[in-house]
Amino acid sequence: MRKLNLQKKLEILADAAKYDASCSSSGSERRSSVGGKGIGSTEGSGICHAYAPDGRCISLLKILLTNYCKYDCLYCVNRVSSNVQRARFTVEEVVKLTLDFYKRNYIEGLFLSSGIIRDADYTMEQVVEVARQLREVHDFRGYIHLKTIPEASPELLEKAGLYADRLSINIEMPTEAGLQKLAPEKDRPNIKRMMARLRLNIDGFKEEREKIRKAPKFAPAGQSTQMIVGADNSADKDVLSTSSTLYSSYKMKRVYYSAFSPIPDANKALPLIKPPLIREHRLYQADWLLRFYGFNVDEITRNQPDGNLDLAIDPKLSWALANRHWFPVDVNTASKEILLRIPGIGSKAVGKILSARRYQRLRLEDVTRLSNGVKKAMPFMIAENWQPGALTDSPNLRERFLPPPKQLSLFSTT
Amino acid sequence: MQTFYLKAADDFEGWRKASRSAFENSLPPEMVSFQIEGEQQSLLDALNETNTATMACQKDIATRNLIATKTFLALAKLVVCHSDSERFSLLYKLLLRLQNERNLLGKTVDPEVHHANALAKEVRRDMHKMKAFVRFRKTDELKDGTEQFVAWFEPTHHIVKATAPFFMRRFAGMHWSILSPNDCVHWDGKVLRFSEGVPKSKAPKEDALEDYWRSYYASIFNPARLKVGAMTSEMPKKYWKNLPEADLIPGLIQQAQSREQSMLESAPTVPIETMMQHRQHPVDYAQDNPTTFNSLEELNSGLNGCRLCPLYKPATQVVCGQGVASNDIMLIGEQPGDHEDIQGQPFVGPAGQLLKSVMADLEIEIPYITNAVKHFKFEPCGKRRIHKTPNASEIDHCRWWLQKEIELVKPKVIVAMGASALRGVTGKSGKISELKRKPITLENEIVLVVTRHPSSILRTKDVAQKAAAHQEFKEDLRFAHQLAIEI
Repeated sequence: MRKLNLQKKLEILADAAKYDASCSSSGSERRSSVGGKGIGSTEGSGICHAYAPDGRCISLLKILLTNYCKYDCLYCVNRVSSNVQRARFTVEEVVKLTLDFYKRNYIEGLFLSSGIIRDADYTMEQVVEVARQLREVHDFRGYIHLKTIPEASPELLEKAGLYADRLSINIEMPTEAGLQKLAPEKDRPNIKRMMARLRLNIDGFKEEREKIRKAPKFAPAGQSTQMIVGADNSADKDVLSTSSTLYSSYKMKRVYYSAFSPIPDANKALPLIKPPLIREHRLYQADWLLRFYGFNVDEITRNQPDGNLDLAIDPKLSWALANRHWFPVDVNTASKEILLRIPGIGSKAVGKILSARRYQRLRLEDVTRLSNGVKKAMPFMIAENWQPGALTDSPNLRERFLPPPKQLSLFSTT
Repeated sequence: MQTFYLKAADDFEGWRKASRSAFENSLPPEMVSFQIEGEQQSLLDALNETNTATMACQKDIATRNLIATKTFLALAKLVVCHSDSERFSLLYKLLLRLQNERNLLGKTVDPEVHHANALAKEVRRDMHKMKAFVRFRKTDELKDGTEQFVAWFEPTHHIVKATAPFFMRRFAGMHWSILSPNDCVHWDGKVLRFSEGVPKSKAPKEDALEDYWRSYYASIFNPARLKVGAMTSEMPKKYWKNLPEADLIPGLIQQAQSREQSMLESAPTVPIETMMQHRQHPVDYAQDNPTTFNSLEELNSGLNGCRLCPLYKPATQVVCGQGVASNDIMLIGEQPGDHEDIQGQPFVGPAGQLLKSVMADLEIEIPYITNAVKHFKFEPCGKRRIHKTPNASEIDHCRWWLQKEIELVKPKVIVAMGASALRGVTGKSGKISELKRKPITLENEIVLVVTRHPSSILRTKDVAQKAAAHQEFKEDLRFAHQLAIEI
């Protein structure tokens, strides 16, 4: 076989990694390279060093160690039955690429994943070795995210967590039936047990550090996972209740939603359509409502007959339209929990409203200074000089918020 | 009008001294103007100038009751970096107001406070973008292997000095310079040094690794999900001219649609035989479920695949009983909790610890322990799970397993802790308080003793009641132990 050069390998193995949505480099401990032998720092919030035209941030060098894989997950570009070009990095090649990219300030660190070759432990060992060399040989203090292989041994998992900032295992599908259909080699109970083991390690090491300050840290940026949306027929209700189970059971930092998108050499059993990007966006909004706004899954999806979110308007607005008896809410008197329910008013704006109203009663123009979403909020709120009157209960309120209809063009080609 | 001269566009200390001096002289804001040395004075200020003698800003006058809060100083440090020509005057105005309104910065809707916050926000964003979009190019390598890098960056505001410490913390182990039109910063592994701005021509033109970076950028892009607006809002075009990857963007956008189309239309290919030989075996969920078990191991492996009720879906795993068969006593609880679900073992959470400490007090070895329901039933609540009591149907489904388990353990005495356990053993509901210390002999000659569940003790808030419940629970267990010896 013709030997591939490093640049070609990079092209193949970055292409193979791009269906993983996560590129976050935030939420870790504060580290600096001052006083060390190498480079690298993490300061809490991550940095997106570039954006691709797909709107996704490029924060990490996101690659696979190899795209050879024994599994035949139908949605995956690297499945064993696909005819994509295959490649494999050596451990040293990944280490050098990471450092070279980092020194030029292209990236915050590395997100390394791999197809499964030989067995789980063999693959995991290679992945962990990359992280070990970066940390121990090069004193690299930047961000490392490792994808964990569910069947890998507990010893390897523990090593991985000591080198990495974040570990992740993908749940892939909202339901077990969906996983069984599309990723027949993946074992959902095993995936969940591995997530439980990660939580156990994260909690255990944290407790240890409360007693001994110098005790090592285990995955300080926690664990995350990803769900593919639109490859099976799960409704948003299923997706969100799986998310809330994952957040509560394994203390996930994030659940990522990845709209299933066409892949090269796709399996024809899958719905090859344009990726449902709006649906993905609405799911993220709903996810935020669950985590930061005090909503639960049932509230968000109850008013949707098919269990799917309204694609035309955001889920908070959709909830508010179905629950008008909550409104209007007076921004000068309402509690934080109630303010969080006003459409258009984000959690940051709620904080600002609470702080500003200690000094004066807020007028509409004051709220406009604190939030960009006042236009959406107006029918649902009362301010010093603003009463929505009949607007709150007006039957065609929803129409106000719909995007203007697109004008059909006689000459349009699509 | 009094003019104060500042050394540089981001001269925070200079502004601080000047403001202090203006304050000492009781100058109202409209009588004060700030001028950066070497920059052209605005015509209006020049006309209004009545006193051309510059105040000695270097002179350190003892502060006379001038108050500046920490939050104000933090805000001011950011605002001075802005390119707005009125920033110093705005800060002086706010400083004077702060003397009488200590909570001034809390009044976020005040027009001047709002304006200052908006300027600070723009400065922070510019600093963030500098951290993101500086691109180093390698220029040299020293004999000891230390690499040298130089970058060119054009910020919108005067942020180079303020952002420099970030690059020091990040790139301590290499030597680097960041050049820009107004300020330059250099790091030699020991100290940060600043110098005057230089033209772009002083910066290196290329770096061999940029081809790799461009390859990466093009490959990580997914043409099937074009969202150009989302890109440009975070990576505004004004930065593109200094980003090596940016000239790929128009081509990537242009080809996206045809690339997507060809993915949708291409004919399926035939898998490669040699690859397929290595394929992993699919998971067999539908193992044939045996109905008879010769050992606890067999029973537990059967339990693992249980789908009798929907509780297995959100739970992590089945939690089987623990202990050896032929134990004299079998303790049965309700269901696993959060800790048990995560660890896969019964009674490892708070209730289990209570149980174990009571057993230790009584000097009784831990007997066979299990639960009436083998999966954790819960309600997600943010980052926690709220325990939910299993309903009769769930207990009855799981009863099928519990009966087999009892047959295999063959205890003399069963201790049912709580109502769910009672139902699991007998198939009937009953009141725990009515059955206490009244042993029931079951069909299979096993004696059933009923007590409360240890978690009910944990839930009791009243200290006296809690102690009483604890004591009663202890006595119940002693009673059961005694019974097992006597039988």
